[in-house]
Amino acid sequence: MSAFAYFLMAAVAILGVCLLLSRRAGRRDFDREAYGTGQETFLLFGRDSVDSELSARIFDPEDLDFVAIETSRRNARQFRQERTALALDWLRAVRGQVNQSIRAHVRDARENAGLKPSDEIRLGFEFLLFQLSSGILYLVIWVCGPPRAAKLLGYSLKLAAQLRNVTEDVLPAGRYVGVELMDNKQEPRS
Amino acid sequence: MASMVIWLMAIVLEVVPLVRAAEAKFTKHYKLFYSYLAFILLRDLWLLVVYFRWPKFYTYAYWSSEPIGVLVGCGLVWEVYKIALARFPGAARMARNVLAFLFILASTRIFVKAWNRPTWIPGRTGYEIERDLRIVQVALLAGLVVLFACYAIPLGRNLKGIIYGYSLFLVTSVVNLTLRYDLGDSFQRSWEHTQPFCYLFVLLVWCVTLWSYAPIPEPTTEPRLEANYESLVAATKRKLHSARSYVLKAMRP
Repeated sequence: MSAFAYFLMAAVAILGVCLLLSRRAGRRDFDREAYGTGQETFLLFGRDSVDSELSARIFDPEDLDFVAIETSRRNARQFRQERTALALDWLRAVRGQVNQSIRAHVRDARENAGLKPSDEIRLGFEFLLFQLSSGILYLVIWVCGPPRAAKLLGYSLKLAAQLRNVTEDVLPAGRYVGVELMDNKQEPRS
Repeated sequence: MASMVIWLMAIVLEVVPLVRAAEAKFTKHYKLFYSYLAFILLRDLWLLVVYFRWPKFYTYAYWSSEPIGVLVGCGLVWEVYKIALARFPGAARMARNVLAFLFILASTRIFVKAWNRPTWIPGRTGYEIERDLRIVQVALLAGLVVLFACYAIPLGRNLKGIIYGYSLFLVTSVVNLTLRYDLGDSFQRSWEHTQPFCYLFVLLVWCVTLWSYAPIPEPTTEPRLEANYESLVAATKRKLHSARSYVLKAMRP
């Protein structure tokens, strides 16, 4: 059993090393091509309200409903497919810009002597979380289409908020009990 | 006969990069690597003498020289770290922390194992000890490689060759030693062939990648003027948060 475990570990290590190094080798001028100058990052976010409106429009069911009512089923299906492709492209663009921003951060951080490993790990974790959630979102959009994905997201966010409220209701009581227990412990001593 | 041919080939392949580097005068750039190569060359020559003159002592001579090889190998990992991150103090700081963590983790595993098993005595369980020490090296080198990839550290052909070759050597050693330890004498015959073949391949990688000196490429862009690390992290976090809220806003009109 342990032999297999070591075999697996070794295979993973070899693959990892080869993949990482070959990936890096493929990126010949990594700094220039992938990082850019750092100025062009986040063109999409916070640009103006027009952009926000347009991106919101992708997920709005209004257009889809209109097409479904006014045209044939075939056209409606085609429209839905195109909207899905557009939504996926949009999400890819957002992810791409986040990646670019992280790369710009990494480029600056690697030469900064004041780097704090804990901050780097925290940031890396946040980035991973973003990648994971946007990856799930990508899958949901691909499977359900943009309007349904938006509905699902709204529902899950509502659920998360409700859960948070419930936890907040319970947690102060928990803290209070904790404080009481500590006080009880300390009383006999004094 | 076959193992003798492999042995002699290994010695030749150890001599080639050493002579080549001495000729082209670039040994000074990778001092510890060439020290390691010189050490294994001398060790192989010494073992060859022992094998023919005092065959009874060969096993003892082999296993007693292995820990020194592992130690010199640690120097090689250290050199990779020093050279690759010389121009990147931030990434070097991160590497120090990650490597210290990995070293403590891997060493603790060995000590706990030794503590729990009274039979784990150096000298008697040579395969297992060497494998455990090699695992520590694998962990350290893997940690370094992941950091190089994350921080996009330019390496250059020579350094890449050293990393490729040594990683391959470490991983094949761990696999072979594990199989030798777990399967016992039944694997001994295969081990006598697989290990030298893997080692020959590693030496070939080193011969090719270290044929001439290839300096580490300079980063093509200048870092931004944001010297304060806190403000850099804050700016990146702000961008991440704005990306998240942008997505949420778009999907929740």
